[in-house]
Amino acid sequence: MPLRTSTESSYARVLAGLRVNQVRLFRAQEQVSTGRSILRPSDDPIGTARSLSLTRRLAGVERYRGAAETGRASLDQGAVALQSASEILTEVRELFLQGMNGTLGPDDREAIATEIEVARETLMSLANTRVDDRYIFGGTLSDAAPWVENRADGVPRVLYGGNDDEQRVEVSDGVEVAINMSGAKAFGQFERTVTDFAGLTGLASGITADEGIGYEYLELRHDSTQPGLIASVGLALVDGGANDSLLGDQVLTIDPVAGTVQLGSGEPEPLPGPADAGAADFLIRNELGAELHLDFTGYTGGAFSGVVRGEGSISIDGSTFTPLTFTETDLELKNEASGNILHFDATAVGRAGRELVHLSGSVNVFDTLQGMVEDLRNADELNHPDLLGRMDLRLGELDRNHDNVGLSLGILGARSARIQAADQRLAGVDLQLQGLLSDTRDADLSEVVVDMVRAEQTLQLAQASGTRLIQTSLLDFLR
Amino acid sequence: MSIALNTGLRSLLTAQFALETLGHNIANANTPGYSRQKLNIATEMPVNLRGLVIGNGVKTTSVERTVDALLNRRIVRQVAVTGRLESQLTGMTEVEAMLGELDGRGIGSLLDDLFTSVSELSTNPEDSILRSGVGQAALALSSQFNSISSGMTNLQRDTAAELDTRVEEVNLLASDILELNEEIARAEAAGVAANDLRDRRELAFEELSRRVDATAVEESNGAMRVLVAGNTLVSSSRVYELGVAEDVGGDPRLTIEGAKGFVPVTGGSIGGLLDTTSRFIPQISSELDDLARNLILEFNRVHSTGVPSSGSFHSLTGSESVVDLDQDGKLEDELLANSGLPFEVTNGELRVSINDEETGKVTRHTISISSTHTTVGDLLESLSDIPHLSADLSPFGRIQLVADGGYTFDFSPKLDPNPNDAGTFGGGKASVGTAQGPFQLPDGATLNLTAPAGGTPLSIPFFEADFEDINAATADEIAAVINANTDAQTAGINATAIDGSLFLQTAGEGPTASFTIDGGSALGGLGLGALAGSTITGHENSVGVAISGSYQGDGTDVFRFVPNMDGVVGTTPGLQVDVFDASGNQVASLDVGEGYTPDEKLSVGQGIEVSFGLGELSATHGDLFAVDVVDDSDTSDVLVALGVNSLFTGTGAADIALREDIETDPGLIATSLTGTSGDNRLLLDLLDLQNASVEGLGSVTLGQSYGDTIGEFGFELSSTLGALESNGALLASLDQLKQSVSGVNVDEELVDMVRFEQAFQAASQYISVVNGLQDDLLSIL
Repeated sequence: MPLRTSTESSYARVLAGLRVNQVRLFRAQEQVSTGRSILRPSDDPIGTARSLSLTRRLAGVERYRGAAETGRASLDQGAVALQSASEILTEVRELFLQGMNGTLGPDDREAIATEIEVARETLMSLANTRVDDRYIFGGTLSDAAPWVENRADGVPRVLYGGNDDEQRVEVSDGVEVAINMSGAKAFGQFERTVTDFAGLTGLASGITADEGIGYEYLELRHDSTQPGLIASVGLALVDGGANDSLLGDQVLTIDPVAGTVQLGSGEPEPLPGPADAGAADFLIRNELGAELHLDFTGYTGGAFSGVVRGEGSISIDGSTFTPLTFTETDLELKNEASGNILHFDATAVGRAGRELVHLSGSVNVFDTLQGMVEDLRNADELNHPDLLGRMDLRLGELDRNHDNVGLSLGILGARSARIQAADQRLAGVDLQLQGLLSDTRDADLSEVVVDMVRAEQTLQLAQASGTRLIQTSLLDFLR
Repeated sequence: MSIALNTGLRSLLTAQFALETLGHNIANANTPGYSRQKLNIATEMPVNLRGLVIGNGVKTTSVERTVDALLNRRIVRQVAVTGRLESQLTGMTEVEAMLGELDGRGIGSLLDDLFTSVSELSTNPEDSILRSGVGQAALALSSQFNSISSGMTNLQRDTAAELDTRVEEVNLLASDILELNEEIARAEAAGVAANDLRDRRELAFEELSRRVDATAVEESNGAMRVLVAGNTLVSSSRVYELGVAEDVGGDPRLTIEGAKGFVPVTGGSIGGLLDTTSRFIPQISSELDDLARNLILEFNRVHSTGVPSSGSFHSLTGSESVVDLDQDGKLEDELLANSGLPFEVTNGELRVSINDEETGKVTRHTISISSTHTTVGDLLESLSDIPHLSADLSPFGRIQLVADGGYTFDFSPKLDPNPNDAGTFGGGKASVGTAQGPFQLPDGATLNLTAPAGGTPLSIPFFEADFEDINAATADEIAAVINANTDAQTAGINATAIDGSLFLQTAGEGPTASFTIDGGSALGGLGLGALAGSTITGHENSVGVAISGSYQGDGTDVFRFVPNMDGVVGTTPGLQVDVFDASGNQVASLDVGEGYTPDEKLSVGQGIEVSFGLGELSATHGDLFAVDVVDDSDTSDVLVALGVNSLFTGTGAADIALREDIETDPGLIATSLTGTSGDNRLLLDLLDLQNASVEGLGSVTLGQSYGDTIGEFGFELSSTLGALESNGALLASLDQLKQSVSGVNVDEELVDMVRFEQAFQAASQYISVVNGLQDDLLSIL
């Protein structure tokens, strides 16, 4: 402290004191009003760098959480659709089981068929669910309906036009979760096992593998019957065999001692007398139900065991027929409309008719329901046991599809849970970062208010003492 | 008696002078630069009156300024420092406000906003509003860069203008000092102390020092010589004026009359302004420029290989122009690496995919680019050589790419979904393939075939002239020779090269398509000797190969798919398809024999899935197909350099902008690798940039780099503020010291006033007494 002060410097000191305290008060007031302790980089360079880095990390975390939120919403919408689909399928299964009951009349079955048709339409609209203009079950081809009825030959089959690509969102560092579900996985998962036959005609799988999806009807046509040696016991074909349906070599056995006649391994029938009613058109069936019409009017009464042969042809598309060779073990047939290539073993074929070939594990839920409707309407007019062969195949496929819907629902749930877990962890990080950011950048209000009050008081003191100082002058006493 | 009267008079006068001096002091108590003046008094020489020495009263010797010259010099020095810091701070504070960080409109926040908008779009890439959001965010970020950049330019200009003003002020102050020098010298030569003039000169010098750090030397005649960085500014006779000139870098520098070169001034406000224009602004501008440049580079690198959700391109125009650097009127002969493009083209490969819109077939073409050899013309030619694509330069030197009708193109690293279109892998054509080349063929070697089997034999010769090196003939070269052979054409025999292997195929498909390998001297070189004499026939079913997924591995590779034996897909026990990478390492072995359902997807690894349709595979006939996989389809950065399919245009903070046509149509923002609406893989790649360390920024992320810039800037600003504060305190205490020496204390003067008033009264009384004595004496007379 200098020993002497000048008048000017005392004024200057008072002024400086006021200025310093006013600045301090202004700073404190600024912090109180903004709630921030760092308002510009120069306030606290280390704090600024820290707060920038924290803001950046916080923005990243919030970005992830935003993505998680949208992602979960999308997953949940998918789950809702699949949940409804699952409920519909449960209902369809019950309806179909009713329909399988042999006592039901055609009208009752038609009613069930109509209900299943409606269910199929509903399922289609669920599988083509749109959220914000995008189809959520189409993979990344989200701008067109993924499931469309589309087959070259007009057969009502639904094909998947989407893809299996995943739309992923990043919900945490390096954690990407798919938020869409391939429609193929949910409604038509491809897990081909075997090629199944309804068992009407005795057709079986060939040697070479089959390629394709869905199901086909194979038309096995009876063209003619070769009577073999039946004339030796005075028998003849009715109408030249035009109404027969047997195919391949069938052994006809007539046992006059036991009084039976038997075709292949079919039920033995009582031998009719030549004069019996109906002897002119006696119908006998083999184990597959293939029919052979015989004229017993000229029957000699002798025993007989010989081969009767049904010649026929086969078609996969209902228009192009290929003659059947009954020694063929790997017959290749290709349906150009569906692209399916199938291989058959024709050695056990014994009956003409429309055979259902099921590429099991590849029939999507819509085609399965379509098949059910076709079965219930029974356009081929099959008898009940034959129909059940088809219906069993449908039921297996329905259950598989139902399982897939459930599985997909589970996958969506698991993903949603995964997002939630990531989000919860990030919520913690979010809070922590916000806390850190607040510690770095935000003013400690109580502290700042205390500072402000202190600055205010100091300013008042400075004003008071300053006024005192500059008011005292020797002049006051020089009178 | 007269002595006594004189003594009284001098006493009276002294008191009067003292009162006048203190009156002057009181009057100037508030005058800046005023130094308190003091009347020096002393006893008058005594009078010797006949041996008696009698005091002769008081005398005034001088009126003196009370100054501490050393202290004044220290103050002047500190004033120069303060001047410098203050002017530096002005520039910095302005920049601080310009950056606008911490209040949500700074580059850091806007960069975060851009990433956030990309993330939002990635959750719903079909949404056009979210897509506009990305465009808006990119626009906001680039505008902020632009506005800071232009703010910097303005600040630079304002600082230069202020520098001119300050220099002018210095010159005026220098003239004042020169004038005062002359007056002081004149006054002091006459023996008069020029106290007030000196005060004024000191004040002028202090003001000058606030502007530029100067030193003062007082010469013997009392004149002050002022030096700036060792150069005379004010001599006893003249002023050497300061001036401003630009150096080679365009930065303003100081000159002084009569001296060569620039005057290195660091102190005073001029020193501060020079620092602001030549160091501070350029430094922070260049850091922002680097950030903007690397941002453009990194975003465009990713974006250029993407596909908008509307699908691949029918045409594209680059946003950067090629410049005729050698000024020969031709643009095509410029090297890509030296054609005025803003970003470096490096050695690497560019992959262009051509998509057939009808069939969905993707054909990928690879163009090698060498930074030292490839010219603009070479690139255009290579691009135009790609079927269904043409490339040329616009009149402005921008590259234009156009696809033929029915075709589109892109630069995506997507996988070819149908890699077996040539039918070299269980196809319907009769087909036979070799191992990987090159092949050693004797000059004039022949390949003898009969096509169809049982038909007319033909012989295809190979001559040295058709090959670069016939001892290392490539599959492509051999295929070209075969396809040019008219006999082969007539017989319907084609050759194809797949991944270095040569394939001979019939044109037709099915069991009736056939040819026989008869022999010929080329057979051994092609490694087909074992097949001599065998007949190759086509198949009823062509094995359909479908690839899906996206490559997750690093770098570039080619996956070769070959069967391990002859057999039928899904039927033959033990049939496998082995997958090898380009170095021959086995990547996967896929069971496709008995138990495999045709068309079932199998995982190859690295994110790739493959399925095989029904058909016959033959290891004996060399069946294979190849899939090239890439993680980056432009390793040369040529797309970035040409500004093709970019997101940002520009090269730095001043000109960074959202690509013009994206601004009007956000649908051009690339979101996918495939062009399907829900594919968001490109957006995820863009998002990866938030955590990617950027080589050009010293291997930190974009956000970190900006944070570092702000951090360093904040440090500098706060340390300048701190220095200014402590300097202010120092200056204040020095000032107080000065005031304690030179300042006027009115109270003190008042006390003196009372003192000298009383002295005056006493002297008057004394004179009156002496006068009374005289009167008494006179009355005696």
